[in-house]
Amino acid sequence: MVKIDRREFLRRAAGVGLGAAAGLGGLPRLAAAAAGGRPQDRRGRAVRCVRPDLFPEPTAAPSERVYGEMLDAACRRLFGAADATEAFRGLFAPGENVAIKVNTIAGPRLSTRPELVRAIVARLVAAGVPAGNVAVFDRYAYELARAGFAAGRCAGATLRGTDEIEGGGYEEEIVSSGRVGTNLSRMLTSCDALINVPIMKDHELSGVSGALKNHYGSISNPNKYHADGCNPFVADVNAIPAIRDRQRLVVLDGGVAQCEGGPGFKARWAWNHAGILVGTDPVAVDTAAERIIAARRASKGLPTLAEADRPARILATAAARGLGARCREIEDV
Amino acid sequence: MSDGGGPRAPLSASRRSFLVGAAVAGCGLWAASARAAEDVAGAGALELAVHPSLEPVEARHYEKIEGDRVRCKLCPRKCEVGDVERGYCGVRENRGGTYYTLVHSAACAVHNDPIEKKPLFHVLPGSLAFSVATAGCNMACRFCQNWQISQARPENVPHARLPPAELAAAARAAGARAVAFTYAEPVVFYEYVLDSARAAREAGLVPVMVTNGYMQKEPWDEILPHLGAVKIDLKAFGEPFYREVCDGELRPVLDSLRHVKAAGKWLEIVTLVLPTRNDSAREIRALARWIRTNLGRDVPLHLTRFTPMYRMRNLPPTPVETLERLHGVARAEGLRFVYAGNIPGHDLENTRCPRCESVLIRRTGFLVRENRLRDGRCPDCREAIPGVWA
Repeated sequence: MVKIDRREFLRRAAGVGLGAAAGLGGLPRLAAAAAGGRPQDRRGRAVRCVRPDLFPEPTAAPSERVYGEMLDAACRRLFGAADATEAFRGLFAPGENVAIKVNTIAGPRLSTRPELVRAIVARLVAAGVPAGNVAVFDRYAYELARAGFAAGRCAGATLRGTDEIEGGGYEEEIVSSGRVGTNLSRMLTSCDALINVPIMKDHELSGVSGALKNHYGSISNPNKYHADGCNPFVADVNAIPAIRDRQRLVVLDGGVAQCEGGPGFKARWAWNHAGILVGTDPVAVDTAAERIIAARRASKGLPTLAEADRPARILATAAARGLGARCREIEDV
Repeated sequence: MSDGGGPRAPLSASRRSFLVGAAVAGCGLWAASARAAEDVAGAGALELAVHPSLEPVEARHYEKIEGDRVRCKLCPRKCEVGDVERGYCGVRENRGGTYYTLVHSAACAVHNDPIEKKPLFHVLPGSLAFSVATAGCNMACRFCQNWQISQARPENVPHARLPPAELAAAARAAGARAVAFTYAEPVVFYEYVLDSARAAREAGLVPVMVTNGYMQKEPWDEILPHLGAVKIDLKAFGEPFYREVCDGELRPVLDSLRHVKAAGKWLEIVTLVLPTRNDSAREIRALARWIRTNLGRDVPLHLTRFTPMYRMRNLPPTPVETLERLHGVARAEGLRFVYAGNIPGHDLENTRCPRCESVLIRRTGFLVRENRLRDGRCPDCREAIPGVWA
């Protein structure tokens, strides 16, 4: 397949450049049109699909097939497309390099599932993006392995920890955004487009960890940015153009979610939510996750995040920075 | 300011060549950031599921708090850290309610430097200091000249396993008289410093700590008996600078300075002079006055020249005239030993007798060209010159 230059792709799309769809990353107009509707039509939207049969048994591995069907259903609603493959045809050009950022810090029981990632990769390939153009990454190879990702490949896509890149894995150039100064993972900077595949859990400092917080794994020095509930640092990181403008889709893995004790896995507070959240707006997806976590906390007799002195202020800050909009109503399919 | 670590070594350097190279480095021109050692973490560490190149050791100076969380008590940040998270420094991690240092024996920079490079001008002049660092720092100074290691996580920089006994042996083999914990920030590799300082002393070496001073009293009480000298960066004399430029606080550094002096340890101070940020006569006057009042007039103060670096490339280098002017300001406040640094060949690098003004130690950069001290005294007027001369 002929690889086309990304700028050429955008020119053929009659031209909305990156960043034009404010708060929705670099979603080209062509992609928006093909996927149904204008970019701003998906601002503030988060679509959830829950399938109780995601886990054949409560402690079994989730089903890749069911993950894929959930993704299809969510994309039908969000994009007006026939399925996720058609939606992906509009989101990603065949010649583009697509990176998938997962979250594997908390180990095998509270990390992005390989089954979901395989379902995403399969639909990218069906949409015309060669598997060789897809890379799945997180910070460290050992964390990916511990989360159940087989070394080196994932459904034909490259699987790599940033730490495996020769020379340290981070760009030499320092990027500044707000109060953040950092170096970006070369796994991120070497892609044209990004799919953010976080998990859904509370966080002892930021309140909620979802799509926005997932990008702490895309920078070299996240440890410097945990004060004050990680605020405004999470928004600062997500406002970095190399992140904001590459990110086209969020597929939040809510197969297993956690409502207390995060970011580490706490069996007592984890549950099989058996769902995913899909959106192009990371603020919308994360505010939907916040709502789901809040409901679970209430059902367990836990105080609200605000009462626990860790409200998710990062979400309001991200919205104020133009990174997206709060989800008014979760769209269930 | 901690001294610069030099260029990074090729990543293919083996651990053996890492140590041999360091031993024959002479004037420390060989850059020794090596790839992770082949003899990495043992089975106990694997259970913790940390990066395979690191070997966690339970940290000192922390307490367990509710819900598998810990509170670090090493530095004034007092990070409260949840499970699988790290403190601000990036090198201490909570695993299931136990706090670990990830950088014990994980050296990422090793050089055999002239001790004047630390800078320590009143400690064993002309000798070599076998200098070591790990990744990490508990500040984020925008002008850091070692930011590639100080602001990095330990997994992300090449490093080699250099346990304390081997460090001391390598220092002896390299002909050093001192072991310096430096470059990034030894506060954050505290446990490694403590164990290595003990090993160095047993080997007849003088351990020195080159630090930002951002450490609590209790770890100072523990480590000071094992150190021979301390150099602390007093980066400015105002909280706004510390907050805005370093993401830290001034007051704990002043506490550390007092504490080190009260413990009777040899102390020297460095202030990196940044144009328009901390270069006013008023500020240096206040700084010098504080030193004289709280530490005594014999504590050497190094006013060093800034060069654009890291996140402060928008400022020009410090004019030499500024350093000369501020030198006069500090001397006028009664400090007897004030130096201007990072201007090789300048007269203000030399040690002069505070009584008769004779040149006692003549330097060009880090090179001692002449040392006229006799039994720690001026050879001309017999004034006692404070320092660690033997």
